[in-house]
Amino acid sequence: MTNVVIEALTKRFGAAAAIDAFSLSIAEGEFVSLLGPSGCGKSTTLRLIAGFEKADAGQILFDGQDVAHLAPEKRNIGMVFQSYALFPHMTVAQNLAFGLEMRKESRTAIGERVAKALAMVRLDAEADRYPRALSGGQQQRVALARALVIEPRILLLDEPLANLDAKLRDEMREFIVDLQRRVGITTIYVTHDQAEAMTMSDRIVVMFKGKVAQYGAPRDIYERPKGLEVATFIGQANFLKATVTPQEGRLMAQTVLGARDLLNESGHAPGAETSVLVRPEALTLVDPGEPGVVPGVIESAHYSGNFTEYRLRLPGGEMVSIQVGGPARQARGDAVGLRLAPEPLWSIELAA
Amino acid sequence: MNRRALLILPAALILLLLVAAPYLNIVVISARPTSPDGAYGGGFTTANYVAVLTDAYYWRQIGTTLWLGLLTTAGALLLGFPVAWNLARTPGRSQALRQAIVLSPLLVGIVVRSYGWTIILGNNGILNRLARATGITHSILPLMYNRLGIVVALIHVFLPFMIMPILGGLQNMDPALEQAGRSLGAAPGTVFRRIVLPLAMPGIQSGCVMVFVLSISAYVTPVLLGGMRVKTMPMTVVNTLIDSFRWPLGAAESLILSFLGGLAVMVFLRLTPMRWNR
Ligand SMILES: Nc1ncnc2c1ncn2[C@@H]1O[C@H](COP(=O)(O)OP(=O)(O)O)[C@@H](O)[C@H]1O
Ligand SMILES: [Mg+2]
Repeated sequence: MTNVVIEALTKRFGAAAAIDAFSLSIAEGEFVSLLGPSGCGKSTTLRLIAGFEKADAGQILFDGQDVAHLAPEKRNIGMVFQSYALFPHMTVAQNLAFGLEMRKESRTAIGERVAKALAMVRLDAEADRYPRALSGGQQQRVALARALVIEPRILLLDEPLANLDAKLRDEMREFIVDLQRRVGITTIYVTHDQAEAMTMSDRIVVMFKGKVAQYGAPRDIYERPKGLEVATFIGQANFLKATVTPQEGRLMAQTVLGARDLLNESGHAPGAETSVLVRPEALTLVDPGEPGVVPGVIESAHYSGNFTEYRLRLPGGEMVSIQVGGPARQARGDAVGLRLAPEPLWSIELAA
Repeated sequence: MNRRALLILPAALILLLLVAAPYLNIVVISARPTSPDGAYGGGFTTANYVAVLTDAYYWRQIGTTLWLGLLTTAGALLLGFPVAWNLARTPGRSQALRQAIVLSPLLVGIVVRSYGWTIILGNNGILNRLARATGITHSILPLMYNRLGIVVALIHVFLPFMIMPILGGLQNMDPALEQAGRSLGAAPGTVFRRIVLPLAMPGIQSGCVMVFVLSISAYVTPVLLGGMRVKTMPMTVVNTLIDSFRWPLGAAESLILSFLGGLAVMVFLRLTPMRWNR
């Protein structure tokens, strides 16, 4: 088990910095996702950790030890590539044995460990087949087993599910998390899919343009995003204008949908104008006749199968999105009522 | 007939007309007796084959020809692989440019290129003059009129045929494979030996077969660089056909060379199997 500390890592390609003063600390056995749009530097970060790129500045430490001078083959890292990168000229068993041969293990030890690893990913029956004869999901599992059979200090995965179809993706997601928990290996997982990052990770690094935008548990990232960019990148976000009002020694956010506790009180003076983040699931559509509800008008309805997304206009002209389970019952122009969940609200400055 | 079969019809016709038919004709001629009144006489005989196969003179020449082919192939592989490797690693536009440079010799005819080598390698050629001028030697370096000169020129002439298929193979290789190898603990040399080289094998095979076949049937280059002092089978075939006008014997000579060359190729392919690639 290994902890990973990254300090002020910088990598430039020409003049542009792909990774810019990137710092991160990962605990032993932790599952951390690097999440960000395409081109934000996730793969570059992974390649720096693996040793395929040289940093222009900063440090990478495994268990407190600077690895800058270590070649990739000396870092004892297990890596799973987006293309899987299985050796096409080797059978499944030979692919798995490769790393162990490099470690000069005995033939019998290799045989045993390969068999164990194949059982772990439920591919015992495919040991003697060539990669091209396997399905995408099977190849994926071979890649995982090949990375893990060497018992590396760290597991790195670069968008490993991007090439699978949706159903298999969900299955593999669970499979990988389960395997990671069982093996207990420190894992860095790269993805641009926020649902993947949310469901799999202990902590998520949200990255934009080579910089860490936020580092925290999935709940933190979702409920307390640092800034507009993170809030809109993760899930759906509504923003409502709010006035900070003091009440019983606390600060409240007064919005068109009512007043709620303000989560991030610091930095707000009473009477200040701000905006608050309202996730769609905090909103409920109700009968406009019910007491205490805020009236709204449906502007659009988009049916997506398991839910319908409505755009609503609130009194004062603000727009919100809301998702309601099942088929569309409301149409454009309908008058509806809206209720906001009683939870505290998180304020975000829109004009950054 | 389905439409896809129709698509290959023109090519098939041309092949039939220009390759299969003449080849068949050669086979037939090789079994005809020599005739004083024409290209060949009536009836069939095995005399031409017997004449070639029982003559040590022919066997020495066949040996020389195949040996030169082998040397040329090995040399082209040793020189061509690094070039293909470098090209495969060059990004986008500059790769196209370098590829064009690699192929550009093909735009100049074989005669010109071979003649160029006689200017470099000749007894009074550039290299020999340089060697004398710098005092490296005072006698003449035997760079030409021998096997060395022929092989050097053949390698140059056929190098693009080695580079292109290897380059194709390397380009098709996922760069992540090498990284996967490194991450699993293999040093760069091991990655090359265990991953890159086996995956480049199909390209290496095609390149070797092409260069070998081309060089054992080469005529102009061995004639110019060997100055008739090194004899290869194609020269003898041309002699027999044109100077002695003995078509049946010439046909048998060329068919025996083709057959032995084909045999060598088969042995080579048998020795370098790629089970995973099927
Ligand atoms: N070898 C390279 N040479 C030049 N630019 C590169 C190279 N690798 C990555 N980049 C640039 O660095 C940025 C980050 O790339 P990458 O780490 O692959 O992003 P991500 O994996 O998040 O999609 C991109 O703008 C990309 O164009
Ligand atoms: Mg990437």
